[in-house]
Order: sequence, then C-alpha cells, then structure tokens
Amino acid sequence: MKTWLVFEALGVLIGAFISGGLNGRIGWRVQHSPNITSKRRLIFALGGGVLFGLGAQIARGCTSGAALSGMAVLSTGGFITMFAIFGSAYAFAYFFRKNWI
Amino acid sequence: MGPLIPNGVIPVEWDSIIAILIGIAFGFVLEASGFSSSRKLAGQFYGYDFAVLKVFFTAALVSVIGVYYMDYLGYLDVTQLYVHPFYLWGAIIGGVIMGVGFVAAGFCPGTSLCAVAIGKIDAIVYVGGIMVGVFIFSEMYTVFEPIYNGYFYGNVTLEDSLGINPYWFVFIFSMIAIVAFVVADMVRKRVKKVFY
Repeated sequence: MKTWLVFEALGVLIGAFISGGLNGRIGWRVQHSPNITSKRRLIFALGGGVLFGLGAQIARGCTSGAALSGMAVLSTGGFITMFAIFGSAYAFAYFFRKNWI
Repeated sequence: MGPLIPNGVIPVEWDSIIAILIGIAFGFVLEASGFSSSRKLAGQFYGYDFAVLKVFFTAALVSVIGVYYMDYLGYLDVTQLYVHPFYLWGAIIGGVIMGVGFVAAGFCPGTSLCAVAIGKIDAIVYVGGIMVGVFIFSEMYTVFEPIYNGYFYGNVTLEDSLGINPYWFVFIFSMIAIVAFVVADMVRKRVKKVFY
C-alpha cells in the first residue's frame, strides 16, 4: 500500500468528487442508452471491466499508464499499446453498436 | 536538474503527497471534461463525440513536447525518465483485449474511477470487473507468462527502435494529430447526433 499509485488513485477519486460536486453531478445512477436496459448495461460493464483488467495486466498498463505515459517519453511499447487499444476498439465497435447508438 | 525527486531537488518523502495532488488534478480535469460518462467515451468509436480522442492526443502531445523541450533547455534529463518497457506481444494482445473491454463498457480505468466518485453504479460494477480480470490473470499466470515476459525488447523509445530523430517525430506526430482532429470534426458533422 505504500506506493504512490495508491495515493494517485485516491487523488483521482477526490478530484472527480470535487468536480462532480461543484457541477451537481453526484448521485446513484446507471447511465445507459435509452435503447437498452440497465441490466444489459451492467452486464456489459462487468464484462468490459474483466477484459480491461486482464488486458491491462498483460500489457503492463492501461490507456493512462501504458499508452499516455508511454507516449509522453516516446516509448515504443506505449505507442504499440495505444494503437492496439484504439485499433481493436474501432474494429469491434460494430458489434457493440446497439449498446450506444 | 530534473526529474526532481530522483535528483534530490524535492525530498523523496514528498512522493505520496505529490502523487495525491496530481491525482486530484487528474480526476478533477477528467470529471470536469465530462469523461465520467461512458456514453461520451464511446462516442469516439461511433463518431458522435470526439472529445476523448482530442483530449487524449492533446495530452500526449503536450507532455511529449514539454518533456523534450525541457530536456533541450536543460531543465530535465530525458534519459533519466522511466520508459515503459516494450514487450511486443504483451502490448499487442493486452491492447486488443483492452480495446474490446473499452468499447463494451465505455470506460477506461482512469475515467471509471471518476465515475465511481460521482456514484455511477455501472462504473462501480466495471471496477469490480477490473478486479476480477486482474484475479483471472493472477490465477492463470502460467498461461499468460510466455507473452507477459517474452518478446522483450528493453525499455526502448522510438528513437532506439526506429532510429528517428525525436524532435522530427514530435513535429510529424503533432501534424498528424491536427489532421486527425479536422477529420474527426468532419466525421462528427456527418454522423447522426446522439443526445445523452
């Protein structure tokens, strides 16, 4: 627990809570397209989370940790991860279109 | 002079405090930009909202230009910075899996934490999913081990891998980003509006 990552994640929660509070966006809700049910949204959120957690472990970082921070120092691994994430998201977007549009 | 903490300009004890301050700034800006909404994030994949794409590439460009400019001026030694390691197939396979998760759930881990902070239940479920994913990885580590530790090319930058001049690369990368932003705007005007 004594690593800066834990504190940064806590900071993100605090910062987002401040911004959400100032703009009146705080409240319990499930946000989804009117064309799908809350249950469907939660199932896809869970499945997407599992995939993202697994992928982020394999690639040693997520969009922020590997792609964005990697690109900041021109890391080859960061660029490849970025292209893989966005490339595959665009490639698979067609199959998930009912959830969003 | 920089990086500040490794070179002792700022004592190492400040590490956690600086981390929490940067975290607060990051979370505040993400939430204030509307990135706590999965529908806004998914917009970039369907062409109705490109804010995330623009912010993502602007952030990458500002940081890379800042890092190399400060290195040029002598305020920061770029060779001392941590470079994300390059595991070829780990990056590709992990990235593809993350991409599917991204378009399925509409969150990436950073934005999902912002959404958790303002009480979005789908984001709480998503973070639970991330933990399940990490657990699966740990349990099946022997299966993933060859791609996780294999095909390692070191902590290399594009300068090492492609032999290109970083300054020119940053310049070309900026031009590509500007073209991409213009194209994104053109696409957005043609795509049916989605209100959320």
